[in-house]
Amino acid sequence: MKYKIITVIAMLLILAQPSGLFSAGLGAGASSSGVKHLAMKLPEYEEAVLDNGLRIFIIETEEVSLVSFRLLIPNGSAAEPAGQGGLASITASLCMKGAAGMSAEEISEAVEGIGGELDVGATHDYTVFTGSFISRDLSAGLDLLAKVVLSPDFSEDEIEREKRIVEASIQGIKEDPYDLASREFHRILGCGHPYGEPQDGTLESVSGITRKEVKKFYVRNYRPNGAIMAIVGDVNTERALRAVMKSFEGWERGPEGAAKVESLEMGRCPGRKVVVIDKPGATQSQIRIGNISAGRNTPDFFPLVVANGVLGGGFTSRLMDEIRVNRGLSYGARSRLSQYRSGGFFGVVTFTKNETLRETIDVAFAELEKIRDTEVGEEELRKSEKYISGLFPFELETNSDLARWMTNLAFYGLTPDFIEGYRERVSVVSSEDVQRVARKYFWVEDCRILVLTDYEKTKDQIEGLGPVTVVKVDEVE
Amino acid sequence: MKRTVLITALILSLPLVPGLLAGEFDGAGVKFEVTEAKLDNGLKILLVEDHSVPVISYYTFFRVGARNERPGITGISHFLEHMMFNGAEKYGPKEFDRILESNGGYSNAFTSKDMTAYYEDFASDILELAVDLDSDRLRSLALDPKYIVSEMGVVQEERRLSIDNSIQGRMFEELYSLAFMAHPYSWPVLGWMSDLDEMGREDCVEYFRTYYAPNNAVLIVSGDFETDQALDLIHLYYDDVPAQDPPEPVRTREPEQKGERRSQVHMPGELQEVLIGYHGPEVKSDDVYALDVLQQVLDGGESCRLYRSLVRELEIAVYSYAYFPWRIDPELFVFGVKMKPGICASEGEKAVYAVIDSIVRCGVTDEELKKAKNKLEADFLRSMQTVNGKAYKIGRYEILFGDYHEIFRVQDRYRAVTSDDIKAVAEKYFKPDNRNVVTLVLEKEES
Repeated sequence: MKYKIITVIAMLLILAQPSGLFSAGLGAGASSSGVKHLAMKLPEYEEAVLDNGLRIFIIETEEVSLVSFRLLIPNGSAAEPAGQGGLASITASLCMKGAAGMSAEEISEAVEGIGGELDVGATHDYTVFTGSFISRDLSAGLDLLAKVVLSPDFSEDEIEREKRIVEASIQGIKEDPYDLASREFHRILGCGHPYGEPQDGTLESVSGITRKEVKKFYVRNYRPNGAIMAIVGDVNTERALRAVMKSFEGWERGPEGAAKVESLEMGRCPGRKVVVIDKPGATQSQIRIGNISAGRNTPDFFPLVVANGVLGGGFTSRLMDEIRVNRGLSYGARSRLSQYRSGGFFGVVTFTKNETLRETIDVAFAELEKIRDTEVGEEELRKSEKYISGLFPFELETNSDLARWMTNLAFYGLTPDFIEGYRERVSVVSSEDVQRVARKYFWVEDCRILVLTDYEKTKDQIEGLGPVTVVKVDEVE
Repeated sequence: MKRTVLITALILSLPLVPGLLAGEFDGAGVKFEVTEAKLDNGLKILLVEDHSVPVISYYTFFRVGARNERPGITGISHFLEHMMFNGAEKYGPKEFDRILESNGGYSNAFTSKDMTAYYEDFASDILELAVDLDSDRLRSLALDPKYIVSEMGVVQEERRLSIDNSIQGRMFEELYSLAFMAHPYSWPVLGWMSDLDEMGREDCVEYFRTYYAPNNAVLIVSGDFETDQALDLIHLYYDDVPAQDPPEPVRTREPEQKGERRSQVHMPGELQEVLIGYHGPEVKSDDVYALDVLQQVLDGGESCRLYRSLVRELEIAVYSYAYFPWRIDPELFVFGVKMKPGICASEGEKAVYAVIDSIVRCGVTDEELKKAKNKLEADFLRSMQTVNGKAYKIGRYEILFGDYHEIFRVQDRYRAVTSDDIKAVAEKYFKPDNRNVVTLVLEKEES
């Protein structure tokens, strides 16, 4: 098998202009010194494409004698046929449960015997295998990866066993108010779109999955064309590439790449509606407020990151300040963007004791209205931007961080200059930009409010928020 | 890659700070050098210079946690952790986070039964700001009554989230209060709700004075800085913080348990669950290493005994785990099992005992031993990948062992563990008379 080197980019993380370590005048007014402009660059990397279409990125790092790899297959739960919720996750898990003549036990034994980790999971947009091994074991790790990706057995026994585990987990999620509230919130916002559906599926959809569906999903989606791999660590690029070629030469190109996912359009959820999940005995109420927002490749990406930071990111965001610091209503209050390839969600996430449920909801709405109605002041804007920029290098610190960035950038059709330009693009977001995207995506009139609570105790407080639908926790599917 | 662990403690001739001690570690594929210093007020300083990424992680560990509390003020260590972000003399309420975040930094903290730790992660050009901010709150924490009230609301919500409305939280709380009759490990780090209701400013002032003293703290800085310059800064900002009388030692030892104890938690839920806790040793016991290796044999992954037996073969559990945290005083070795729908917790209990019995009777295989040691080594490497990870590890070892140098020895200790050692510790600790069992009773099944 041949491969072609596409690009080689040099340079380690560079300090473009180190400011004097000890010269900055300090004190409350010292924030003007701010984050120095670190021109972020990726470490030197090599990119190759195998004949079968598999893209590979390799980065050599030396600090710790470990290597991480990550293989992204560009189809996840959004590519499941209707009514087969959970199929992508189950297919992924089953790869580890018998492949190329090895039983599930033999696979886990082979990985763990050398101190390695090999995990798999499916998101809405993609399926991903991640590995972490001591550097000397890279070939062994890649060989195992190739076995489970290229030659899974999908035995009837293992499929039934896996289904029983998933069904038990689906039942178990009802025990966790935070997770249950988040899952149901997205389901309400999605109105049937795959991005709103739970990754694990439902008891009904999982029970209907058979070997036929699993095989079909695998054959359609587990293909090298469109797949992206990154290897990062204390390795030699040439040797790593040879190891990949040796292990993955049998992987055959498929007729199709990534599945088309219907765009999740804003406006699907007009008006304001309240959904209550009634959990008698709960002493704390979970709150979610939001609607459909923008996807990962929106031109509003950077304004949205900053606006979300001002509203609900970090310990000094507006939601945190008003709900937690000033009023002591909650341990946590934040806003969250869930962004996928063909759309996304925006939501406020918080919780409070039953007695202060309405006060907390009202404060959250007041903050949503404020960021929509009034331009954010210069000082607050800069604080938020510097916070986002300052933390960015920490996202690129470990081997697995770098592997994640390399594969995800490629998946979303972005190039490494996204990383290089990240801080610069955050810093040029203006107050007008923040207000514009807040008005566009931080919904107030048209929104869904989900409350998980002991309804008998909080019914009065929920009145007047909008039309209410109540579901008993036991009846949630 | 070097496979041997070198232990060096040598005198470096740094003219600025004479008499510095340093430890250098170059083992298991990780290399770093620790520079050690102590201020006159007793503040211990450990520095790890590392220029690979232009960031710094700045940790302050205090030798205080729930074990230093008493009934009436349970939860105060954790509450003070929250109050440390609510203003001091130079930087008032909200300033700490506002200034740090507006300079691109991030801060957080945690409290455990044995320790309280604070950290800031930031770009390397604002080291002095971090030193200033952190020394300010150590020197002059405000404990403003208005913020005590609002922060108590926050902490009570934290308790409602992670204990009162959480099956796991309630079960662990029950297990520790069942197992510990005398020792302070019996109460949760978050404290009892009634103590949180009643705690006042005076309690906080006294507790802060005693435990938040430089002589009760360790400062660890890791990342992109020059050691001598960092030390100058630390001197500049911390030298005037006065030392305090050393805190009273924790005297109580848990009496030996002489018979099984059982309890139940009643909550709404879907799946039955059981926790089994055996009294184990303290971190400085030689038995700890064999128990850690055993923990890996039991629960190091899907090829290990608990998963194999309870999840794969018997198919009675959604998951099962073994948990043995290092603590200053003797701690529990805990087994947990979440049952599959319709399966009774007693089945999980029985299966755990069968796994334990087979180890007591036959020990573990050479392959299991080798696998567990490889996993411990690889996990160690993974935890040392970031500047934050290194600083955290050094601080944790320093508090637990009273000497961070144990980091350099731990892999050798694991390598020395034999199958006989594992058999011996399993026999010694996993006895029915030393056992505490908490089962979850699902409320809907009751009715």
